[in-house]
Amino acid sequence: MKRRDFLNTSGQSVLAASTLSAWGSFAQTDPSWETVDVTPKLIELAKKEGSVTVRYSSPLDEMTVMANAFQNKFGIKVQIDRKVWVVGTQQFANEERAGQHLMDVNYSADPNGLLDLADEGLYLRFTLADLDKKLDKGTYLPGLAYGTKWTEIVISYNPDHIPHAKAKELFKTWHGLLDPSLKGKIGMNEPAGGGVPFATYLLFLRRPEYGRKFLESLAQQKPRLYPGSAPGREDLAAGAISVFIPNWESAAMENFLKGDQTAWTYPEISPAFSNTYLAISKRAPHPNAARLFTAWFFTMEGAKALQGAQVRCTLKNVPDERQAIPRLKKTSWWKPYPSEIRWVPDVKDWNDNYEQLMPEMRQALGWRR
Amino acid sequence: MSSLNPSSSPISSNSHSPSPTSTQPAFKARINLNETLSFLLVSLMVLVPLAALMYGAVRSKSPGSPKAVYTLKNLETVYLGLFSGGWTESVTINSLALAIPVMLVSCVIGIFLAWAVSRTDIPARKTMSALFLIPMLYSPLVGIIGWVVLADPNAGLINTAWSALTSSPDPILDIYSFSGIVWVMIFYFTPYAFVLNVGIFQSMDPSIEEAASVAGANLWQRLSFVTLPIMLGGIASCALFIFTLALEQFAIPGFLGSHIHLETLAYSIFVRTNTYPIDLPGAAAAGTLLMLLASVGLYFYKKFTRHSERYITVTARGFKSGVTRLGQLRWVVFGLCVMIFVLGTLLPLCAVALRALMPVRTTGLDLSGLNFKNFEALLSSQDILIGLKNSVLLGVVTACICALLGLWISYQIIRQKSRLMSAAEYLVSLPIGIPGTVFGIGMVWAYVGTPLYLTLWILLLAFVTRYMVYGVRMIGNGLSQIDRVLEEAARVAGASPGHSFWQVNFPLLKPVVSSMWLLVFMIVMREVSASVILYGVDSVTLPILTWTYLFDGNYGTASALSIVQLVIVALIVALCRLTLGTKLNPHAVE
Repeated sequence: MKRRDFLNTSGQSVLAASTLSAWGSFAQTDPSWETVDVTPKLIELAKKEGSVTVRYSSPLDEMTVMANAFQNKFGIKVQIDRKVWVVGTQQFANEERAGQHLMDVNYSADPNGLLDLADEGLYLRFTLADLDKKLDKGTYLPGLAYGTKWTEIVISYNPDHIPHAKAKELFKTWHGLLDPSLKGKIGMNEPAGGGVPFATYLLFLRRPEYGRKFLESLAQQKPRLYPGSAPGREDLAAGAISVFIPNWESAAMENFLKGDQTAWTYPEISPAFSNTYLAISKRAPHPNAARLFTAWFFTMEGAKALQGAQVRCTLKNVPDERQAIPRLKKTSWWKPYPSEIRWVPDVKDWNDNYEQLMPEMRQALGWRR
Repeated sequence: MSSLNPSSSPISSNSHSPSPTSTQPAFKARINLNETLSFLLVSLMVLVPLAALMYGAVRSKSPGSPKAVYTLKNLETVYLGLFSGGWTESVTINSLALAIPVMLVSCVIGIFLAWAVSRTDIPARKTMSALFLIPMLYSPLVGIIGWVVLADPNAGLINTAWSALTSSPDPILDIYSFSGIVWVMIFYFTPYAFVLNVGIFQSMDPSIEEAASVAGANLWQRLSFVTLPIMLGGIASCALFIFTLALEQFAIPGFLGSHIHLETLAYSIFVRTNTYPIDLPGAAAAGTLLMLLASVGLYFYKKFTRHSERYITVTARGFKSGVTRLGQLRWVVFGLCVMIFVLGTLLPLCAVALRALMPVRTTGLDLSGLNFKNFEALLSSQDILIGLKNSVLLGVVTACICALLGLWISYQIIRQKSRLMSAAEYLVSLPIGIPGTVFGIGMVWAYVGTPLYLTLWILLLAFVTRYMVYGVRMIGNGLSQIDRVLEEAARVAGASPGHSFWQVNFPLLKPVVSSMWLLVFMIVMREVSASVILYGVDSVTLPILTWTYLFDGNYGTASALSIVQLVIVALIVALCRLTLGTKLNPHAVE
């Protein structure tokens, strides 16, 4: 069953072509949207509810930082449930259609699913107070979901296998992955493993210097394919593989702080986007706690707490106080993410074509299911 | 793991004639009501998820989808695809190809170990018996973590040591390979083969072997021409049982096989419920195929065990287990036993403990960096407390309900011997032949629209339905050995049926009830296959948390959690043993 078919099953769902187009075309404001802000009243009501259930797609470490920070600040218990990428939205759809209202907040990396289910009336339509002052356009789905962090894709490697200097030279471009010495030593996240691999493989497919042929050549390198990125990072640290793609910098930093010796480098072009959004269930069992959880991470205090997971926040004017940065600066190999290499995925392309792109990517990489 | 052997069925073993008192109209009416209630309850519990599974297999979309229609497309894809290159073809072949060597090797090792501790004079037999059962205390995830740490082809400790010793670039053991997956599964299933075969050895009168010995047969001849032929039926049934378990095992081949594109049917079904794109109708249709394959194994299992009395020589007079004196050979056999224990249990457990103490993996082994940070992280997490509470609660409540249902239903089966109760007994044993993932999908289809969905209650219902067979069979076996004259005497003295049961039967059944309770508790504490499909945010269990950590790449936390879980279960087992004298005897597990 195609995902689009799965999501578009409601009789009331009128999935107009306009909605399926890029979220840029989504109305930017609507007076009917509720404005959500951290207010004493909201805090009081949220505390009375006592808990909030968050279904998330981000790494566990990141969610744990968020949950602990929120819980410490407000004394509201955060229950977390990890469902990666589209699985979270699909399960939410299943539950809601069966009349089960279990989830309060979705920390989701599936913008298409969010849009589809919002159309079905399953998500709250809301905006953040002073939105323009807080976030750049393109980091949120107006009226629906708001991205908390930038995801910047990197190539991670094990310096015991590839010395820093060699890695820097080899991975000036992604073509370095085709080096014969790396055959059988590359780990890759499978395309459906989340937005990160999808965006990266989309780059390969869409950039003329790479194309499908590049993906097929990567498959010839006999990579280990991982259903998620975290096991790939573990294997990289253990030396089971020499390179892991696509990794993203905040996850790599988190592991670096734990003592992980792996390093990362930036190729000449790399996807960078805000792809993990906080959205609120329209029938959230803890509606006030859900609103507070969402709004708080777009305050200075919440954003700084989020930096505890080494993420670069989307909230404007937040000083970069990530713990890993000063320590990374002391290393010989690290440099800040160069903004000139950013490649922002075309959301319309992503949205319109990913049903076709997913099997194409899997096929090119030799992932059978 | 239930006793699917009809010869051990309480009905067949009850030789008492109905009591005159049981024909009294009031009592009879009460019993009939009880029977009807039991039958209805069991039917509801068992048949609803099965019917829902069938229903799901012929629906076009997931539960609750308004545009869903009836269709045979899913079944066509699954069954016709088996012979025309559909997705089920390769995964079914993979499942069978894995299950066969696992079955064969596990049985050979299990028979050897059972023989060593039951029939020979090797040292420390009792200790050995207990050690071989340790893998039954933990989930298959422990084996996965342990062997990944030990035998990753590029970074496994065994392989790096091998490489350092021999300078060979090739790994000695590649866990991400077909043979690697077989290896891990063999050691996971060997305890089952061991337990089943210990049961067979204990049921055999050794006088036959002794007679062969007196007639001049040497050890090899006795084993080849007396012991093994007598055991053949039992061995065959054990093999088929292991085959069925291996077929439905999804965690080991799922995790290890995903790196090398090797998927099994059971894992594919799980994947369809939990990863992109979710396909519950397809999962239900594939579930019927897996159920069918498992049923074939169980059918032959039953066929072999039906006439087990022909080859298992249980004598009425009783006998003392005979011991073959091996002389110097006992040390060789003992060494082999130790080696199997070290390879199958100790090494992976040590690897898990080591990984639990490593904050991050490093290339090579850096013992200076070991600390308890993973345990600290675990203990500071909310999830662990929820998971621990849920697991213990589910384990205790499931075991108690299974015991109560076992007492209630088996009493009626044994004492009433009606057709209705025979049907109930059949229904009770049905879920054990249904793989956990498949049963889980049936439960989803059945209860998705109810308040039970994604709660602890649905897990409890699933566990009770799946495991009440232990209560019915084990308590039934115990009850069939109690002469009903005792109960009748109490009734003549004026006791009510309930009072006489409580005062007369229950004290005698206590050991078997506690044994059954412990077994069900242990199974629930490590259950993954059904709960991975049914759990919700509030109903997460320890094995599910381990699973989540493992798939999230958080091996350190997963390892720490595995150790914590193992310690908890071991403590409870020890507590039961010390306070109630509970034993997990082989017949119980069988």
